Amino acid sequence: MKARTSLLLLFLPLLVTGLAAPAAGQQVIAFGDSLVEGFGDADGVGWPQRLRKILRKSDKSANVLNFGVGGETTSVGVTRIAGAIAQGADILIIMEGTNDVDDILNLQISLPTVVANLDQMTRKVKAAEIEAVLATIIWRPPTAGADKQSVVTQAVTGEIRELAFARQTRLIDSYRAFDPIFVDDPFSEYYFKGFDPVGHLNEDGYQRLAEVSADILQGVDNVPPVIGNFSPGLVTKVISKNIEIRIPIYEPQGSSGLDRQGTRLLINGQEAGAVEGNVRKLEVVHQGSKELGCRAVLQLRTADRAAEPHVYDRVVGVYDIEGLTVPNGDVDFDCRVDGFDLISISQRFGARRGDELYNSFFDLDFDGVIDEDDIDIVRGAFGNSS
Amino acid sequence: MKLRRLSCLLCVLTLGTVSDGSAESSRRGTAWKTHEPVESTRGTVLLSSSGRARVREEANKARRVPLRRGEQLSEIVEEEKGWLVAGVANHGAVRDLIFLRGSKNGVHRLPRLAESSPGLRGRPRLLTERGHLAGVAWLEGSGLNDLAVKTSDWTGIHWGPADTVSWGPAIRSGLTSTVLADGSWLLVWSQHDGTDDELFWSLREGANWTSPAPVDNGNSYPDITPQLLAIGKGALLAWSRFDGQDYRLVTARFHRGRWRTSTSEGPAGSVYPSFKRTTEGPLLLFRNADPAAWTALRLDEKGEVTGMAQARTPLAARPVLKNSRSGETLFDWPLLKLKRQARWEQPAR
Repeated sequence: MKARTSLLLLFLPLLVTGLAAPAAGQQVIAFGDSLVEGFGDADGVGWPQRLRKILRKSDKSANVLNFGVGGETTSVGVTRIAGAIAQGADILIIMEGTNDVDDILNLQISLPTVVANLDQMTRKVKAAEIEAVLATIIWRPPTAGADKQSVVTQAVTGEIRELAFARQTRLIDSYRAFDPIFVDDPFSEYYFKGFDPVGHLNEDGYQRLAEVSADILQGVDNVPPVIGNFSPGLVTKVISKNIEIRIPIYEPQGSSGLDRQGTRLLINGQEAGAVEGNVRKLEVVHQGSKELGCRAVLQLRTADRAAEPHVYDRVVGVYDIEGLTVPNGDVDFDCRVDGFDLISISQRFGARRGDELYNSFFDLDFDGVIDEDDIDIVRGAFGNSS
Repeated sequence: MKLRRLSCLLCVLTLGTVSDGSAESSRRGTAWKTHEPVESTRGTVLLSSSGRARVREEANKARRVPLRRGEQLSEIVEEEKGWLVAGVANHGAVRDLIFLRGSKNGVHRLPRLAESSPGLRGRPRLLTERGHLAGVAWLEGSGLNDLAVKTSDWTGIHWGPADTVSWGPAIRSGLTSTVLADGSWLLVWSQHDGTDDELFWSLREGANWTSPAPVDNGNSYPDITPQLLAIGKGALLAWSRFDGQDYRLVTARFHRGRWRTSTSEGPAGSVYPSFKRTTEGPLLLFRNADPAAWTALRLDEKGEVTGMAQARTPLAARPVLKNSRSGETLFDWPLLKLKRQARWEQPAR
């Protein structure tokens, strides 16, 4: 009885978070393109071999096979994956889609087709009774030949996140691992420096990808929630007053789940919208109204339910409102210059670019510091409205 | 056209196949789509990489195409006295089309389209009649989910007003075009119907476009990457259709306003078809997913397969096909400086 209690205590953390202990002798296949193959890695091994090294610290017979082929798109991968499945494995990681980004940009193939291809790969793996693990693609560096702002890359990533939720697979969020919003200067530290129109990793980058992958395979939740493709989206700049705002939030399968109570949408600093969904996927939904003002700054706050929650808190989009202009000095975007704008600026008085309090919306003369000059602009425009 | 027992043919054919080489294996990582040459149906080649472009004319003479920052080329056609290339210019969030003409007098820019871009323009397809530029077809919209098929006539000096061929905004891709023997323009594109991508077509006879209609019966799997070639009095269409497991090459013949889809299909994993016209007849080039290869089919004027050659290679970039010594063809990757010889084989009957 005592021994049973001890065992229960030993496995309690896994039971609480819903994670499964990895089996001994785990056989893993990494399937995909040149990012799986390891292009750019001076050591020539890529992340699969580095992942094997990590897994073997706790499982001496764990193995990871590299099934990466440079230049491959999902239309090709959907056939080639049969050969990887035939090898037999416990887990097959699918990380493909980077090369499809160029085809999507060139209007050669559609995003839904790329998603359908990844879905078919996932189905094939599951049909062979192998666990399918999806991985998002990584940011394109600003030096890439196309999609320098990663707009299409982010759209593909959002769809992979949704696919992982819909098919209930675990997700390695490679995109999040190199997101410059969360990682300081990832392109200098983690990206290949040679001629590279796509955007590959260096040794440190592949090591980071191996560690992120190992965390997921070993059931360690180290990342905050991620968002999917949302409305109004990244490309849109102007929205109508009646637009429906819808932001999906995901917490990967096997992790601690989303904190619904702690999830908030702020529009120009004011709480707005309703939260729907469950611990794996929440959606923040808001039908446009006066909260949008004449410019809408959408900020999302959410967190997971880990013992020490991983918090996501960032501006997801800034949109001008159709038919309205922002009066100069209207820093809270309520369409008029008034005392609230003076108060808002005063609260950040003295903040310089790089300070936590600094926000370019309040730096009306764009000189890098929120000071008397900015207050003067508000005073001068006091009473104006759009 | 019938791709007679093509699956089986590829299984048994070994003599015409060139296996993977170590030089290619070492260049797998560099085989990006950006290194893919674009070949006109008559063999002039556009080489474009990282903002630089060259056109390889007859006798391998290469001519530099001056590009500005943010410009990329994706299309080439021949004219009677030179060639035309088209592509896109990216200016922040706006993407517009660009056109350049090459002749013995040098390379010159043609004017932009008459109306300004609503945000996204791409996939220009140049149409020529009797060796002269006649017009252009392209995709246009505010974003990837909102694209229309548009066309414009070339007056000889500037582009005419744009015609909208498709109905309503939709996710559209893979636009392809050809001019038939009677001078009418034929367009085919992929269009998402809410479930998957289906192929649609429209024909311009005189000044009017026919209502867009599906090429084949609808299905619940993607039909992608269509390619057209005018052949005889009609046209040949090749594309890849997902069959529930794999993409397979499918062909259809357009004749007297109707499509006839072939009953036979290419092997599992046959993707990215393209056509080329040679003095010996049309060629159809496509990629095999597994085992990785590029396959060329020689066709007669009815679209029947008369020969096949294959280069086994992991290279994802499309090769240029060149005539070689008798009975062989050359698969050429000019930007990677790789060439592979393969023998033409008779198709299995």
